[in-house]
Amino acid sequence: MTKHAPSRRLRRAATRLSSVVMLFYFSAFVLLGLKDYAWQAFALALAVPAMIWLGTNFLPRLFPADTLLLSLTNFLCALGVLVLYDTNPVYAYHQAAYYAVSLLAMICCVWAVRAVRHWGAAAWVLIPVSLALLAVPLIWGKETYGATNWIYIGSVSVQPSELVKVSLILIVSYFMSRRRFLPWLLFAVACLGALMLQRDLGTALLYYGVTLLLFFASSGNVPLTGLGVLGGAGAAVLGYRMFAHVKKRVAIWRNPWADYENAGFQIVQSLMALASGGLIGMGLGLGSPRTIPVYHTDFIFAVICEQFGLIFGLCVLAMYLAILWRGATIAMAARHAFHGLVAMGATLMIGLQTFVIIGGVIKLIPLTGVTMPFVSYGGSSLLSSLVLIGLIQGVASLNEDDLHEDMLLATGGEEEGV
Amino acid sequence: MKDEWYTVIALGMRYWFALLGVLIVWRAFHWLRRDRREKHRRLRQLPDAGMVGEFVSLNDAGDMTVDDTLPVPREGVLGRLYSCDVPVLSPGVAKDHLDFVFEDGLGLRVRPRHGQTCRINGEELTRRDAAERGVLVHGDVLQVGEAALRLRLFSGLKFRRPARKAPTEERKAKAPKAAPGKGGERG
Amino acid sequence: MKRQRLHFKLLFLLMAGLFALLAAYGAYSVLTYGNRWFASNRNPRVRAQKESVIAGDILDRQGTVLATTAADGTRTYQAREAARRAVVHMVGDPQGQVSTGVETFQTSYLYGFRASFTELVRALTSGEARRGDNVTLTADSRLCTAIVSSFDGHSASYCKRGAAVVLNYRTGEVLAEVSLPNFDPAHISETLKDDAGRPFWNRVTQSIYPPGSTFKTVTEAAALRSLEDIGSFSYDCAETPLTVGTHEISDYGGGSHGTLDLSTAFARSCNKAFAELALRLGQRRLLQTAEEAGFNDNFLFRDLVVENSRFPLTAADDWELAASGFGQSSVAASPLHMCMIAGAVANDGVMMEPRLLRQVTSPAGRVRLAFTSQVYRRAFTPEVAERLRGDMRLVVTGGTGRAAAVNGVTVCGKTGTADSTEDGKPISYGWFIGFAQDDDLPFACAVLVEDIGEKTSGGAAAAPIAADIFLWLRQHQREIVDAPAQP
Repeated sequence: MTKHAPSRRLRRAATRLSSVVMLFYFSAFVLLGLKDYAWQAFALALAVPAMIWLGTNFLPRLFPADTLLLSLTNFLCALGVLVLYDTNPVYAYHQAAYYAVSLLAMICCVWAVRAVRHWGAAAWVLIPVSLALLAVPLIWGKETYGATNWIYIGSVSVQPSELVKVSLILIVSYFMSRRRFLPWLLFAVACLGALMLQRDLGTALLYYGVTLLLFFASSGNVPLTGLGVLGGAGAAVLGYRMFAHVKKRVAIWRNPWADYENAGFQIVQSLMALASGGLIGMGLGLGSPRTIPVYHTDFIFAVICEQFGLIFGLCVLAMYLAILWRGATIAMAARHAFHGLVAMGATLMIGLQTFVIIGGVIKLIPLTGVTMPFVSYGGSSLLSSLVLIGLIQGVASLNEDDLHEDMLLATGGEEEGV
Repeated sequence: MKDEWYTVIALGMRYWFALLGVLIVWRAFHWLRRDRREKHRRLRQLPDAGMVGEFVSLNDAGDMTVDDTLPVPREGVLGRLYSCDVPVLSPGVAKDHLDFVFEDGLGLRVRPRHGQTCRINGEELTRRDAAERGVLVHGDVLQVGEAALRLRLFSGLKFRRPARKAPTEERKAKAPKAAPGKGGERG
Repeated sequence: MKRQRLHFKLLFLLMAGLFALLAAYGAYSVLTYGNRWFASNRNPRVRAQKESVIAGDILDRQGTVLATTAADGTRTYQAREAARRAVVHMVGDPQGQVSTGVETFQTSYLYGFRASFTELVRALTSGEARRGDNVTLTADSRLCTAIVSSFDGHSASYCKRGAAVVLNYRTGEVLAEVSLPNFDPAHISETLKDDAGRPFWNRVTQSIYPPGSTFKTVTEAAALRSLEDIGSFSYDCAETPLTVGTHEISDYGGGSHGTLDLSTAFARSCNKAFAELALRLGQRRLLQTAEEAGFNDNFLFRDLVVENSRFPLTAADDWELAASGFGQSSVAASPLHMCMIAGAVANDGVMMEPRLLRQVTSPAGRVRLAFTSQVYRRAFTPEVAERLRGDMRLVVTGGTGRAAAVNGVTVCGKTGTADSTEDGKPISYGWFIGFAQDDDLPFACAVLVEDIGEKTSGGAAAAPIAADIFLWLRQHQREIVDAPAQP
């Protein structure tokens, strides 16, 4: 069964995009290389564009991939490597390694979405596994940046809440598509509870948001959704009253200069970086990106805006939007409610996470401590983001298969019109 | 490289990167739009894409008249609203009356919503017995509210014909089999 | 499924909306607040540039060099100490202790962040150290020096704290900005050891004070606009205080004014009459006029960082409303804003945006930017402004502001004495806001004297300083109005 080959026009559009992306990274790494004549930069100047080229032309032949989505994702991941190399080359090398691993995970995920027949059984297995994963940091975890959601296995640090994101989407989508209310509700509540105990309020917000929006998508029950929104708002207010550090975060959000030395330091540095970048940035390799606290994870967007400027920052935002658009299109083209919800859930998760972190960095909303998908440094973050993309890709490949089958049916069964 | 020279080059390259960034976004959305248009074109060539068959109405009930056809997708909701996948505009049909999903090798599995019932070939089906008996195959008649609909599954789809009387008016090109069979064969 | 698809589309649109919000907010923040955040003296990027670029000069409108970088790299100011101290809050200091001084706030010009690409290349190839741009201010440093000596002369018996600002009400150019106590930017370390009285604080723009009777300008504007029977307004001001709720309102120095019409009430500054007006107007109408005059607005001027003025959104009771009528409730404004209000009255109700920069020139001498006037808002209608002009003239000719009169200048204004508390102790502020109603002297000013004591009024403490200001303006009229722009 031959896969439907994309038309020539489509392939040309793909090549045009990837060629510009390759040019971008080539010139960026060469420029960075000129700074210290480091051979690694020149090597990356060749390696990264090569990866992009492979990703666009070679990888789709190996497994049923949605090339467009892959290109967009590769651009953002490479951007992460570029910015990390600019600030601290060691992080860049780690990130490249994480990227390779995550790419494999993504391929496995695509395969899994296609291969698994009995999602019910899978869901019931995932529930206890996920809850166990979430519980582990509570027992063995170490506290970092105020939240106890990391566990250390040897020298590798893992954030279970990032991994459970994926199973959340699968579980919730499965039971919603079967119109079984209780299992996903209890599971979601249990997850939220575990996250609250770990003080990982940003991820809790994401979990809650995605679950609520998927509920709206599958049931269309506007009054209940509205109730959910109010409930969320109420919980936020309650959290504000109960947790002292939430109060601090909100106070910092309103006036970070009041406590510049301690609590407000992060956001003030971020704003100064944004302002210094202006429209076209301070220049790649110039400026002082390392003065921004947590520049490699949460505030990496501030680094991007400082180096490349606001215009480029808005372009990055537009690329995320393109991914969301693609994800939504794929979700809408799904034949089964379950697949559609999975694809949409993954899309919403990426979208909400991006909104929350960029919102925090530009002081639209208080800081929450989630990372920026694809770009942030971090194995768990990159892994979960690419696995989510893998889910979307899996659904896309199923759509392609279905479309292909329909074409065969149509050409075969025309005269048979029963 | 001397710091000053690097500064000058980097400052000049800012415009380059900003330009490329905008170009990348432009190309990405261009690709998106191209892809969409192509998908639409492909779908237009297959008007029945995603459909597994159709319901043919057997009586006049409400806004439904005899021989009206309603395409049936692989999975969806049947009800009185236009936003349903199979909109049956007849009295007695609830806003969301039942969910259906085509199961390969079995047929169209039907599950009425809470408090709704329907009839398959005359036999009553409630939500509770939907798990065992709620499957429609080619030729079966589904009664919801005052409407009666006969299911026609497209050729090429596998379904299991249960051991029960099939209506005799509809005939396929090939003789029906009592055991698992296909609705029509292709070459 | 169809419905689910529709919901997916809606959800995508929601996400797109959220992203649009991000983009809009990000762009808005950077474009509006960008300069302020960048120019913060905590920005490490600026520190790096400061080491490699020689800061440009700051000049006043006459071309006097207010700040320059000497050959050995130190920042030097004017030779005479008095001159240095007079302009220090406007110009700033090398360390950024005056957080909104031009030295700090205009870093992007002074340290060459706005240099064009070709200039950078040229600087590199020539091998010389880069210089930043030169900034020309709209202010006249001699006026600042004159104001400081006037303060020294007149308020010798009071605590030497206060502020004064002079604006061109047709163009919005700030001619002088003086805050006392001041300090010597060439010898900061001594001031750092003993900063009693907060010498680094720019009282003109960063402090807000209760305006006292100067707020009656706004109250009268509100009355003229909203009360239909204002033409026949008449108030009988007797000896006994006016009782509103549980408080009593009396006038400065006790006594009665007799029967007053609106103009006389304004000229004599009768608190009771204006309390009555406020009560008749009601909170909503008074608030509306105050907000049209700029109260409660978030000031986002390009050259100046000004603390927002406040007018209470709701009146807790009648007493607070009445007190707002004569500027004694929680109303507060900076001297700059009060000056802008006086300027609006003079300028037919149009309030111009205050500007401090006249132009920016590249080190090679090319004019990089020349700034133009901008309207901030229309505070009053021309009719209201005309009436207010007349009444403010009356204040100076036959009212509480006689001390501000100057021969040869049509001085108009309003005095004010505001009572407040500072650190739990009562304190009085003396105000005078006013303008010259002459076409060849389009200037407005505001003078604030802190801690004038119980026995003195604004008319006695602040008005004479204003008189000195107008006298100086008259004497130097030809230079300041006709001074050509620097080449």
